[in-house]
Amino acid sequence: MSCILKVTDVCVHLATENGSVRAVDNASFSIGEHETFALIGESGSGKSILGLAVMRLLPDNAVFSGDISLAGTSLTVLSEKEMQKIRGKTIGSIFQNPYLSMNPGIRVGDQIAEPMWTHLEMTKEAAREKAVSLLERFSIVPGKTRGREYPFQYSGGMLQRAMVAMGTAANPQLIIADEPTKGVDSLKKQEIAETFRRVAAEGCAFLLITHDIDFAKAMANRIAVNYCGEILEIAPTEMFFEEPLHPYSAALLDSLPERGMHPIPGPSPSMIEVPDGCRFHPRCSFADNRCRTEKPPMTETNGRSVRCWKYA
Amino acid sequence: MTELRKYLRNRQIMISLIILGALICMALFADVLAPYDYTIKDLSERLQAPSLAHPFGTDQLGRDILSMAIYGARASLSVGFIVVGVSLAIGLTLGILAGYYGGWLDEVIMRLTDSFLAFPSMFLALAITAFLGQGIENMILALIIVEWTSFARVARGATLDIKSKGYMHAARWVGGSNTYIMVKHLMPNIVSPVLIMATLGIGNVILAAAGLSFLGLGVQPSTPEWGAMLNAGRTYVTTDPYLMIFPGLCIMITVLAFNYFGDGLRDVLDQKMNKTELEGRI
Repeated sequence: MSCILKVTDVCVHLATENGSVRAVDNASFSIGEHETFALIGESGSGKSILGLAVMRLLPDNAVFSGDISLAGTSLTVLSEKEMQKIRGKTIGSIFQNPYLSMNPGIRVGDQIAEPMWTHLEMTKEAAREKAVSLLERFSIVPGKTRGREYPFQYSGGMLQRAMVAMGTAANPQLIIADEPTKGVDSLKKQEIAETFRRVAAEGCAFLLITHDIDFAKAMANRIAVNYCGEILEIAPTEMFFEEPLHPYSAALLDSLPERGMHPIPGPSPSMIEVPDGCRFHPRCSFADNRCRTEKPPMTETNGRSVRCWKYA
Repeated sequence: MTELRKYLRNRQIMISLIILGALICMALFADVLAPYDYTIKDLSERLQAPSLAHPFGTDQLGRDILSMAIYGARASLSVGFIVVGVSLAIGLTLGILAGYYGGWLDEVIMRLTDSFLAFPSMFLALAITAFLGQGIENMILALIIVEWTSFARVARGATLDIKSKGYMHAARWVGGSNTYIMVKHLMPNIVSPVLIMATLGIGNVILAAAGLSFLGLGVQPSTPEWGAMLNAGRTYVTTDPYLMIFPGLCIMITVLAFNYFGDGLRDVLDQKMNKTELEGRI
C-alpha cells in the first residue's frame, strides 16, 4: 500500500511564558491511500497541533522539527503560496462546529463553491453548479434553492453535511477531520459517520483527530493513541480493541462505560515538565525503575507498534 | 424586501431618512429650488425680516437667506460625505491590517492613532487648518486627519472579534490567502459597527466643518456655508437674530438627522451598545 501522508519524527514545541509546551514529540506514522487513520487521545494531548502541523498553520510561537510529506513531496519546505494551493485542494478539512465554521454572511452554495473556484480554475458559474450537485449528493434538496440560503436557515445536521461538501469539494486525496463529533448527540454522530463513509468510499484517505473512541472504532482502519504529546501505540482497529498492548491503551479502554468505567488513577501530567522515561509511568501499574528513567523506543510487533518496555 | 421593511419600520430611521432625503435633494437641486440667485446683492433689500418674499429674511448685503441656506447644504453635505468617505477608507484598511496581522504592525498603527487621539479633535483640526491655511480643501484635509483614527479603532476592534471565529480558521484551512480572507470573509462581517460609526461621523464632521467655517478657517465667505453664515450674522445678532437662527437650525437639523439615522441603524443591526459606549471604544 503506497502512503499518502508520511509523518517522520515530528516535534512541535510551543514557547509560552511558563516554559516550552511539548505538544508533539517524535511523532511518526503514515497514512495509506484510502485509509482512515484515527488519532485518539485526551483533550490537550497534542492531537490538534499535529493536524495544524500538517496544514502548516501552527501558531507563531511553535517550534517545528521533523518532516511531513504528502504523496512523496515534503510539505515542510514549501512556500506559503504553494501551501495555499495544497490546503483545500489536496488536503481537505472538516471542522468541529458547523455553526462556527461557516461564514454566516455568505450563501451556503457559494461557500461550497469557494474551494473550487480558488483551486480548480473553475468559473464561478461552473463551481456554483457543481456545488448544487454536491448539496444534492449529501441529500440537501432541492440543491438550487438550498444553495442560495444562508447557514442560519439550515439545521445542524444539514449544515454538517454542507460542511463536509465544502471540505471535499475540490476532490482532496486526504481529509483532516478535527473532532468532527464534538458536542454532537449519538444519532447525529451516526449521520456524520455515514457521510464520512460515503466520502471514504470514493477513495479519500482520512486523518481523524478525536477523543471519541466509539467514533474512531466505527470509522478507522488503524488507530494511534496519543498521550501527553507522544504516540504510544499504533494498531489496526480490530486488534487494538481486542488486545490493547500499551498499559495506557488498556486503561483507556477500561475507562469506557461499557467496560466498567474504571478511571485511570492520577492526574494527566504537565506538558511542560513531562515525566522522565516513559511519559505514562506515574500512572502505570506495571512501572518499574527502567520506566522511570529510560524512555522506551517505538517497537514493532506483527504489524503494530508500541512504545513500552514490556515489549521492547 | 423584508430586509428593507425591517429598516423602514424603525421610526428613527424613517424620520431621519425623510429629512436626509430632503436635505440631499436640496443640495442636488439647489439651482431649481432656490427662489433667488444668492450672488445677487441688493443693498436696498438688506436686513429684511422674514416675509413672504424672503421667508428667511435677507442678510446685510441683501442676499436671500433661504437661497443661501439651500446652497449651503451643498457645502456641508459634500464636506461630510467626502471626509467620512476618505477617513473610512483609510481607517478601515489600517484597522483591518492592524487587527488581522497583529504584532509590530498592530503596534505601529495603533500607537499612531493613539497619538492622534491624544489631542482634542477640534483643537487638532484648528491647528492643522491654521497651519495649512484657510480654504475648503485644507479644511477637508484637516478633518480627514482627525477623523480616520476612530474608524481605525473600531475596525481593529471588530477585526479582533471576528478573527477568532471558526469560519476565519476554516477559510485558512481551505487554502484562502490573507487578502482573500480579509476582503471576502472579514470585511462583510465588520461592516455594521463601521457603518454606524460612519453615519454618526458624518454628523460630527458637518458640525466640525461648520465650526471651522464659523471661525473663518473653512469655506470662503463668498460661498454659502452654514457655519460661515453664522459668523457673518454674528454682528447683527441683537438686532436681526434670524441671520443666525436659520443657518443654525439647518446645522442642528442635519446633525440630528444623521445621529438619529445612526442610532436607528444600530438598533436594527442589533449592536448591543449605545452611542456613548460606541464612542468609548474609540
